[in-house]
Order: sequence, then structure tokens, then C-alpha cells
Amino acid sequence: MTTPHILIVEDDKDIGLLVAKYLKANEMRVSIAENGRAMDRILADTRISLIVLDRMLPGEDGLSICRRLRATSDIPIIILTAQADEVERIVGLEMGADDYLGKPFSPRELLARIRAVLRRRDDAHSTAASPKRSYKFAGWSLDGTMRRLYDPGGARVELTGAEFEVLLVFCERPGRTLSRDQIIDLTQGREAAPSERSVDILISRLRRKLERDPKDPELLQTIRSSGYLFSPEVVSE
Amino acid sequence: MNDIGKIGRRLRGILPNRIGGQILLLVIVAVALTQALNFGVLIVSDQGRREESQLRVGLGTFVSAVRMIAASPADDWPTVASIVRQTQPNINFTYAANGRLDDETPDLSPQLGFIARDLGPGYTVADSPAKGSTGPDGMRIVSVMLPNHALVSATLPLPNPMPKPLLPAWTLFTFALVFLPLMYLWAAWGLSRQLNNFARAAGDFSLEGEHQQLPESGPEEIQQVARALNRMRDRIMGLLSDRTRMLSAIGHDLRTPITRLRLRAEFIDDEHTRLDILKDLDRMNRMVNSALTYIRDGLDTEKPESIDLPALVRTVGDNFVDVGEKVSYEGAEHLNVKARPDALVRAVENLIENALKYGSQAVVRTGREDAEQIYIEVEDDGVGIAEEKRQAMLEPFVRGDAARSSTAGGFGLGLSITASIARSHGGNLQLSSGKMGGLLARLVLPANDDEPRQAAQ
Repeated sequence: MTTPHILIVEDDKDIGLLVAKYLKANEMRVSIAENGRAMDRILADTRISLIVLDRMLPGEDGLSICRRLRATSDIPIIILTAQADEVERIVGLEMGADDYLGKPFSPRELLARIRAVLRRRDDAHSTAASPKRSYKFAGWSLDGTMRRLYDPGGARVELTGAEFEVLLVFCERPGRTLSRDQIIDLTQGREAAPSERSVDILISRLRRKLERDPKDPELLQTIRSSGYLFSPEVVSE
Repeated sequence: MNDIGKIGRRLRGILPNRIGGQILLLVIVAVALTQALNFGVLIVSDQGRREESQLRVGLGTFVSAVRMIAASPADDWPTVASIVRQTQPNINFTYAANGRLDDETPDLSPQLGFIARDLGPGYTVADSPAKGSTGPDGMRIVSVMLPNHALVSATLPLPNPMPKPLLPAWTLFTFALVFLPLMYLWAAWGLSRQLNNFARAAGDFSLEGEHQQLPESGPEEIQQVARALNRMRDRIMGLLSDRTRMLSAIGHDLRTPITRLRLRAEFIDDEHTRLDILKDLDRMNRMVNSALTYIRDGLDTEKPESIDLPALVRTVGDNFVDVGEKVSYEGAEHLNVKARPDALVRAVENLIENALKYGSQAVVRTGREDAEQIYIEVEDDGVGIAEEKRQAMLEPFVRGDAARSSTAGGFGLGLSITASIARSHGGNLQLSSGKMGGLLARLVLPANDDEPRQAAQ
């Protein structure tokens, strides 16, 4: 894999330089643009693997840059924002951003997200399938954009970040037995990745929320000595 | 329509603008109406009385003449007759010494019955319609057979049945008693309606959503009050939005340096220092977030939806468990309520955070309070809050223990955010001491669930 080239579009010089320094230390090439126009100049003569885009920029604002880029290319975009609330997330993702990170953020998390988005892109190119946003199973529905789960009666069922990621992995692979290691691999770099130890805890928490009888699970079944199987029929939208 | 509007406007131009003038006008109109009615009744009944008195004179003369003829010898009768003819030339007074009535049971108009009653026994009275007179109210020839067999007759107007007074005396009184208070009530209703509007507007005054201006209409005084209230409301809104802008500017402006520090910390080689700095930065960030949340809370636009309450509460608790805290859950497995989920998450998060700040573990419980309400309890094993300080803890920027809070961190907004979330749901937050020795925070909210889920318990 060639060294990825990351373009940081950020008007705060210090933040731009610090992020660049951290990413360079982690074997990435980095360019910095302070606004949309500078970004366009760099994009014109450089092959960029991913753009880290600040939401609030002087002149053309991050969201409209995101929309403009999406109209012409599918270059991966991660948006940085000071308002990491739900509305912002939805708007950002609707505008075509691949991921979303609230300020202040840990550079480690940014690095993990960059790697995850890049890997997802590689996967998507090889399998030629973009990740689905919503799933329905056994009357339940999982909204990938809003990160929400609704029970068959339409009531919202709260999930922790890690629970959501695990359920999403299962929804993407219904009827397949997944080992603990696979679950951890598949959620790596996502918003809230579980550790090996915690997979079992997450499964039991999910069962308490999803199953009619958590002690006799119908949806999230344990496959002895190999892992877990998500049994219901899943419809993706 | 337009014309009516124009007339209405012109009328309003003439009518007094001030409450005093309007009430005065009302009193004048009411008194004038009562007096006019009074006057009308007087005229009507006076006319009746005058007609009646004329009739009475004619009848009286006739009855006296009959009595005189009955009492005097036949020689004097012509004298009597001539006197009667002189005083009442219209009644055609005649007499005969030995007359005869046509019928044994004379046909007497009921209106003339009083003549027979006046004369008493021995007299027979009869009447028949006069020549050329038709109809029940016309002239009648009244004949009286005297005890001495003289027959006297005269043409008399049939008295109208005593006209029932159009309005008896008590009507006027009743009218005054009912009509005047009604008019005053109407006036008072108009005034109190405006005042009620003000009271409602003041009561509904909130920072949320659209705020409507009071209509500046009605009497001048009311308009002035409405204008003053509107100005006051604008000033309060201005102050609040200034405060909101200030806090949010501080919050947002702090985020940039915190972000820079967060990034810079990553390059500190000394692991220990780096982690300490990161911990402080996290704390600062949480404080900024809580301030921003506190501002946003009043302006929350989140819609209530059906949620599985135990799932929500357990999720919040599990997030604490995942970072090594001791939080346990007791209560129903599933319980549907209608609420604003993100706000409720914040409320429970604040309660658990508060519990863990002062205790080593938190116990969270949910359940039904009664048919209409649910409760969420968070209890800790800390030292609790003295009873007299509990109410103050719900105020913003008030912290439990000054010495301790410097290490525990926070602006002291947690409980007040939770209390305001409870209020915005139509519920409340109560603080008491729990069985574990610490604080028991109890959130009681309306359930608003139309169909409770009968799922596994």
C-alpha cells in the first residue's frame, strides 16, 4: 500500500500544523490548505487520498465544500466540527462526508478514523458495494445514519456506541457465524470499537435489549466454540 | 364587509378610548334605557286610565240614576231623567214605568257584570247591541229592571276588558335588577378577558419556540399595559439571548484552544504528564459542553418519541461501566414512555455522574410510579446532601461542596440541567437521602404511553 496523502483543510494554523505533525509521525504525507480556494489549488495538481475538512471555514464553509467535492469526485472526506451533535452529523453525512469527528478530538482517534475510512474505501472498491445505511430484521429497524435502533413497536431503543457497531456488523453479515476476533476486526477504527474481552459483554447487553428471553436467544445465537450468529432475515435499505 | 369595517372604525373614533369614559357611557346608556322604558310604561298605562275614567263617569251616572229612580216615587222620575240627560247627553237615558225585559235569564255581557253586582239583588240587568254598532267592543244598550218594575236603559260603551298593565311595577324593578348588572358584567368581562390574556401570556412566557406579542388593542389603558408587557418581554428575550450568545461564544472560543492543547499534549514524551494534561483537558471540555448544553436546553427542539426507558437507562449506565465505574441497574426490563430521548440521556448521565462524583457506586432504578407516571432513581453511597442544601443544588452554578468540587470539576450545572429537563417533560426532580446513605435523586415523569408493551418482564 502506498503512503496515503492526506489534505487538511483547516483555518486554524496551529491545529492544521499539529494534526499534520501527528499524521506525518504516523507515516502519512500531509498537505494543509487554509480555505476552499487553497484546497482547490492543491487538488488540481496533487493526488490526495483523503480530505480532513473543518466544518467552520472563512469564505466557503465546510459543508458546501463537501457538497461541491461530492458532485465531482468520491474522494474520502472526514469532517471536523465543534458541534458534534446529531443534526450536524446527519447534515454532514447527507452532504457525502464519510465520517465525522467532534472538536476537541484525540489525534489517535483521527488517525484511526482515517485508516478506517481508507480501508472501507479499499473494501468498497474491491467488492464494488457501498455500505448500506439502514437495516430491518424481525420487525426491528437499525438506522445507520442516525445510529438508532427501533423495536417492532416503533419505540427507540438506546444503544451504546460499541453495541451499535457490533449490531451493525451483524446486520451487514446476516446468517454468518462471526468469531470474537472477526467482530473486533470488523469494528476496528469505527467510532467505538470493542476490545476482545468486551465482545461477550456487548452480546449479552444486546440480548437484554433485543431478545424476548435473553437466556434463550433467538436472534443473536451462540455457536459453540466458533462465535456468534445473527439469525434473522435482514433487509437493507 | 369593507363598509362595515369603515363604519366600525368611524364608530370607534366617536366612542371614548379610556376605560373611565367607556364605563361612563355604559352607565348613561343603561340609565337612559331604563328611564325610557319607565316613561313608556307610564304613558301606556296613563292612556288606559284616562279612557277608563271616562267610562266610569258614564257608568257611575247611570248606576246612580237607577238607584235614584228605585228610591224615589214615579213623580220624581222625569226630574232624575232630565238631570241625567243633562250631565251625560251621550248615553240616551230612557225609562219606562212598567217595562219588561225580554228574557227571564237576561243575556248580560260579562264586562257588565259589575253593574249587577253594584246594584245588588232585586235588579235585573240585561244588554243588547246598540243599533249600528257591531263587534264585541261596540256600544250596548243596557237595560235594568228595578225592584219597583221600572225599566231603565241607556246606551253605554262596553268597557274594554280591564287592560292588563303592559308592564307591572315589578317588571321595571326586575329589568333594572337584571339588565343593569348584565351590562356591567359585560363591561367587566371585557376588562377581565384582557387581564386574563395578560396573565396567560405572562404564565406562558418561555424561552422556547415562538413568542407571540400581546395584541395592543382595546381601551387605551389596556393598550398601554400590553405595550409595556411587550416591551418588557422583548427586553427579557434580549437579555437571555445576550446571555446565550455570550456563553456560547465563550464555549465555542474555548474549544479551539482546547483542541490545540489536546493535539499538543500528544507530543509530550513524559507519559504521566501527558495523561494528566489529557485528563484536565477532558474535564475542561466537559465543562464547556455542560455550559453549552445548559444554554441549548431551553431552546431544545428535540421531538418526543416513544422510547424503551430501561434500555436507555442501562445504556447510559453501561457507558460508565465501560470506563471502570460501578453502576448497576434494577427494575423493569422494558417500559415504554414518550419523551425526548437525547434530553433524557443527558438527564440520567448527569445524575449518574453526580452520584459517582460523591460516591463509589451508583444504583439506577426505573419503574412505574402510578398509572400515568414513571420514575428514574439514581442512588449513591456517598455522604449525601444536607436537606437544607438540596433545593439550592438544583440551581445552576451551585455545587455541593466547595472543597470537593474543585477536584470533582464541573460548573455545578448537572442537577439544574436535569431538573430543567424534568420540568420540560412536565415532571420533576426530587432529592432525598437514600438507604445506601448517599443522595437519592428521583426523576418522576409522565409516561405518555398509549399502549404499554406487554413484552417479557
